[in-house]
Formats: sequence, structure tokens, C-alpha cells
Amino acid sequence: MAISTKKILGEESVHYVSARKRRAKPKPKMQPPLTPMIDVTFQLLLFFLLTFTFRQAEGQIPGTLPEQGEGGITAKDRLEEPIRISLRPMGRERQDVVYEIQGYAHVIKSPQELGQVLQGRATQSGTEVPVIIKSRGDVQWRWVVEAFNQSVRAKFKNVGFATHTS
Amino acid sequence: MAESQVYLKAQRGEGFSFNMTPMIDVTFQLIIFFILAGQIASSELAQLLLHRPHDSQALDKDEYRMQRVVINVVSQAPSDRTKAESISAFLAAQAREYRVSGESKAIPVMGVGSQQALVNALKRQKKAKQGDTSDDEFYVEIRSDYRISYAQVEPVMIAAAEAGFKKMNITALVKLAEGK
Repeated sequence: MAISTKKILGEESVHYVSARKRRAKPKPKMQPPLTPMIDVTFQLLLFFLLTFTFRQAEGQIPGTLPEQGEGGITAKDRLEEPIRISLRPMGRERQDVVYEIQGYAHVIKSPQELGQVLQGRATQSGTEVPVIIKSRGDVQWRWVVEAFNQSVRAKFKNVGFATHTS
Repeated sequence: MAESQVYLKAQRGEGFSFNMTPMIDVTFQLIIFFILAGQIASSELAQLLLHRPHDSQALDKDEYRMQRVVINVVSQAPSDRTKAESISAFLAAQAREYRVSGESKAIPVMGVGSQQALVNALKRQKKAKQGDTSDDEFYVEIRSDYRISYAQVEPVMIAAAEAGFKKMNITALVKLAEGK
């Protein structure tokens, strides 16, 4: 009868393994079923990938709220003649705009041109002069934002809105 | 030629299995990212089409984000940039509702007493969020769809002034980095 032995790595001696131990079934490995979890995980991943929309980077342009009077402009500011920008719609379905600045003879058709005129005014009379934006109700909001943005770009410190009730 | 362990095992007729652990790890990381990013996007900022002005002066400052009440002016038309050009300009110019951050219900623009409801909502949120912050450091942020007509946004400014706000920020997309 052959004697069952077991060689342990690094040891010279040979260990005896009993027949009962040899007959004993090896312990089954614990392996929880991973397939359903992976399935669900992939379903979730696919859902988020398909529904996710990246937000574009947005920021804020600081301004003044309209108060009683015009665009939150105080009595002290009123001593200085404000720059008044008027907006009216034009073009197909009123999707475009023209800007008019009081005291400026030409009609302005683009935000770039408006920016140039405002920068000229800022150099001429300083950036403390209040700017009042007055828009017609049917002008798209984007053009109002453009007028506001160009005023801030020209470094005017007091930019406000005139409401139709003021 | 060196053969992979998986290949050799397959040749010998032994069963083989892939190590799934790193893949599951990565997948969970992705899911967590999408869940968190999705929540941030939807908590107080409605999905709108915002305008990017020429040489945008819009700044994304922390102070603006902390001390503010946001009013979203949502258009009647869907906010899908890919379909924006095909939608009627008249429809897109009409605002559907005002959504004030912190308020559970949106205020319908055409509803009876919507202006007063907007003022009340702004007063409530100002009281709830302002704390010790002075009026000069507390902002109302107007986020409006760029297609909406000014007549629909103007009442928001009037309501904010009536609610006691002094500072207003207008939301716009920030300037693109050079070369984009």
C-alpha cells in the first residue's frame, strides 16, 4: 500500500496525509452570482450615458435692478447725463435688432459696433456715467444681454434698465 | 512565442474566467459620476438655451453662486439647441413659467396674479437665504432663455426690485477659450 505523503515547499520533511483527509471533498469556493449585478450595472450605465447632457459653462454679468425712476440710477447719478441705449426689433420674425444711442446719429446693427461706440464714450466721458438700457417688449432677450454685456465690457460701472413704467 | 494564460488554459481544456473586478469598479465610478453631475445640474438651474454674447463678460464667481436667488424664465418652446432654429420664433418668445430656486412650484406666466406670486416667492427666498448677508452682497440671478421677448423678462426685474433686491446678475454663457 502506497503511503500518501505531502511535500511542503521549503521543508525537508515529508508530511503524512491520512486516507480520510484524502477522501474528504474539497470545500466549495464561495462565489456569489455576479451576472445579475453586472447586468443591472450596465443597464444603469447605459441609461445615464444616453440621458446625460453636459451643461455649458455659464457665468453672471453684474448689473443694477430697475427702481423707481430709471434703472436704479440715483439722484447724484442723474446730474450726469446718462447714456441711453434703445433697442428695437427688425428683420424676419423680429429676430434681429437695431441699437440707438442718444446723441449718436447712426443706427447700430451689431453688438460689436455697439461695443466700439460705448468704448469711445467711456474714453470721452469716463466710466462713471450711468448707462440706461431701454428695450421694446418684442426684442429678444439675447439682444438685451448683448447691450448689457457691451456696456460692462466698456467698463461702465453703473448699468441699469429702464422699465416701461418708469 | 509566449502564449497568454487564458489561451494555454483553453488549449488544455481547463475552464477559464475573466477578472471582472476592475471593470465593475470602473463602471460603478462612472455611475456615481453621472448621478452626482445630474443632481447638480437639475437642483436649481432649469435647462435653458442661454446666450453667449460677443466677447462675453460673464464670470463664474463663487460669491455669485453662494448668495443668490435664481429665477429661471422658461420658454414655451423646448430647450433643444439642435431644434432651436426650426421652432417658431413666436412660440419661443413666449415664456411658459418662472422657476424660483428653493420654491417647489413653478409660477405660470399667464396665470392670474402671477406677478404677485413671483414677488411673494422672491420675498420668501430672500428671507430664507440671505441670513446675515447685506443687501449689497445678495443677488438675484436672472436666467432666461435667449429667445424669450424682453416683455416677458421685464416683470421679473420689477418683481425683484419690489421684493427688496438691490443687486442683479444676468446669466450668460462664458467666453470660449482661444481656439474653440
